[in-house]
Amino acid sequence: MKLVHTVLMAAVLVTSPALSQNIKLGELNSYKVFPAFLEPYKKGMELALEEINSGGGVLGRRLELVTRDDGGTPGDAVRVAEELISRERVNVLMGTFASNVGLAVANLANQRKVLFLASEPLTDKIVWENGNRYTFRLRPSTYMQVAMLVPEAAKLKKKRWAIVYPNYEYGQSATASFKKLLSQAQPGVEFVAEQAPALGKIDAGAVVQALAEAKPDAVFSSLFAADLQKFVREGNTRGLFRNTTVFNLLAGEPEYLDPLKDETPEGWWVTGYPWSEIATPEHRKFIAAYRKRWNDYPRQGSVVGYTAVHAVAGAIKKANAVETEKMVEALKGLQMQSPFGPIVWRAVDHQSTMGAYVGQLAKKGGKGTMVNWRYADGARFQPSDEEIRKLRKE
Amino acid sequence: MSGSAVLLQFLNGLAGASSLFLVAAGLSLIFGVTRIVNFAHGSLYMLGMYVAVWSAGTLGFWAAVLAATATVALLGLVLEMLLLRRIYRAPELLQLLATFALVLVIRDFALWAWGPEDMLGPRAPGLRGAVEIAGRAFPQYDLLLIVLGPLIFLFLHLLLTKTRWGILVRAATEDREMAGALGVNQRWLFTGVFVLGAALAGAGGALAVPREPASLEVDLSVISDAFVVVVVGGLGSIPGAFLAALLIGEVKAFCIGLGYSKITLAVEFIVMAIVLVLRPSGLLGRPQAVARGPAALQPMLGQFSSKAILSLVLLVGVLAALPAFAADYTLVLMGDILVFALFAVSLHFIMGPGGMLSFGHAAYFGLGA
Repeated sequence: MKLVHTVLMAAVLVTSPALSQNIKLGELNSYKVFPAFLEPYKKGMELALEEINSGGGVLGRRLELVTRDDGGTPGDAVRVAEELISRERVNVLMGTFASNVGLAVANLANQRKVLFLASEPLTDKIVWENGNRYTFRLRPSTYMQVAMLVPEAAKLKKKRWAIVYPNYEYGQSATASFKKLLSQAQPGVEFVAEQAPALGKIDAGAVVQALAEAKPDAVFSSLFAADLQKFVREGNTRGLFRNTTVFNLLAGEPEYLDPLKDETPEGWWVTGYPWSEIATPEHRKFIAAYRKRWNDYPRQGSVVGYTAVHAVAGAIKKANAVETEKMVEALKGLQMQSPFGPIVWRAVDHQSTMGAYVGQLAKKGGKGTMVNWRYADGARFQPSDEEIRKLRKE
Repeated sequence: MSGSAVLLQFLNGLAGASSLFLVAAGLSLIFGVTRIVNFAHGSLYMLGMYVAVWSAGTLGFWAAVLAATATVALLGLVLEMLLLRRIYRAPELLQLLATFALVLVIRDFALWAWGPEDMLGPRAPGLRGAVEIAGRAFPQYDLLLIVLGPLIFLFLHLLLTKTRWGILVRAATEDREMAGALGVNQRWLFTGVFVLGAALAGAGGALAVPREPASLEVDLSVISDAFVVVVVGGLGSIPGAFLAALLIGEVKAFCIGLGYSKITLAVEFIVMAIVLVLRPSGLLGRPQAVARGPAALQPMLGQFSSKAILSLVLLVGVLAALPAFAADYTLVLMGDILVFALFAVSLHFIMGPGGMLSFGHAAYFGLGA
């Protein structure tokens, strides 16, 4: 009987409507699984929230952030998102980190007709093959970041390429895009070795050895976090990088670059975020506010969290309402300012044009940093609209 | 693969095997004597890494390894006396749950103490570079690991065969109750074994520092590797763990060398499956001593009282009517509760009446999904 009692209690609790004048942003993310990226991300979100609310909120109402941990699995994420929609009655869903989790929540958003702003997941599918009316994505996708690196790779005219990537959605699609784009830009290029260790479980010594045996002229890698650090240390010791140029997605982001310290491999081409060197007025303003609030420097995650909250606020302001359909229409083509400069939310595939910084790694005073960098605007690294429409089946 | 490439991958495999052996030996030792599957063993390894990286700045690397080993051993002492001592007689699943709780506590502690960012430790002083072997560079530190694995194995072997303490430990591994009946003070024996096991885990973590960063994901990834090694080697057998570590280290290195990097995750389990089919107790394991006393099988289901049946019917009725009036979230929640209830019943079915402790039960769940 106790169970029946509990169930009835629960039913009473959850069916009572939650009344609130605040606009609720329901945010879910894998805080326990990827803390290195997501703690700065959370700080960025909170900074943006405080800025907006101290300026009077949006439409005269305060923004309220309801955050949940999604456990890093699609199943848990869907349950948490459902809780945010049904019980918390949030106006917007946002967040997620891993590609598979982002895809699961995007699917739910489509079924439940709720706006979902995927801030971090990099998979191309979330705006292309699996794209839907209610899902928008902030960060440059794997395709875009690969496309930013390919012109530099093609310039070097290296013939023999080896590839190493973490064996899941992100690494696989980065590798596929790289092969396709480089073969187009430089016909006759050869891919001589491929290593695909499981995420977080690279056996770096053996992998570096196997790559070296193929005698490549250059290496393309999409490793990050602990895998990247192990790969770099073994590669340095075993001399893999002495005669090869390496291209590595994401390796310039402070989250993944800072732990390398004096191991930082010089000359690598990477995408990332050279926070200490960007001197645009919008970035200076952001960094000053962030430092003042948190007494720490921003990471890539901080920028993502900060911009995501401002994007939602911008959409509500433009829609002049919090109805989902109106916000969806408002986000299409929304222009806004970000710490990286102005960005636009593309109507064709719901992808923002936020870019990334492309440059080379260098060591300065025992720490890793980016040199020769430039900002690659996300608007310039996209396939044609026709191709996208075909993928989105619209 | 050329001859020299084969040699290099062989050495890579040996180095990997040594670090595997350090963790697995502790786990196997603890299980052999106390029959506790210590899920938190990987967390002790992780703590060893963090303490070593953290103290290497002030103490220097080699002293940091000793400090990490000592710290983790001390923690092992405290854990054994405060927690494990109370649950030796508890059902296996409870022990698993308790040590799994430790995993969560230790991970949160590491997050609080050292922050979320990975910490790449220093290289080992004196062994920073590489030596040339067959025209290829091979890290000096890996050579040290290759030597260290067998040395520690030898140390453990002598400890277990030549000392009085070791003889008692072996007696307890063989037949715990008989050892107890002959007047061996099991309490301190168990404590000693757990501390030694923890120290091995701490040392394993500290010695891994020059090869990999301390990160919060290390705990579970290490424990799963260590489990495979312990099971393949035979539960409780140190020489078995050594052999199994060698086998798995080499198989993995050659998978990568031959370009089959995608299957390294699966391959250790394939090795495990093959070994267990050929030798059900592992490479050097012996069947466990038979538990004395009445068999601990549980009755499947008691007879239902009419009251219980009535409330069940009522519950089904309430549940069936729920979609009519409950909110969406309630339905999702109820769906999840029922799924877990079904899962729990199936697990109970295997463990209770079947008497099997099924570790891979969640895999069937995943397959079904």
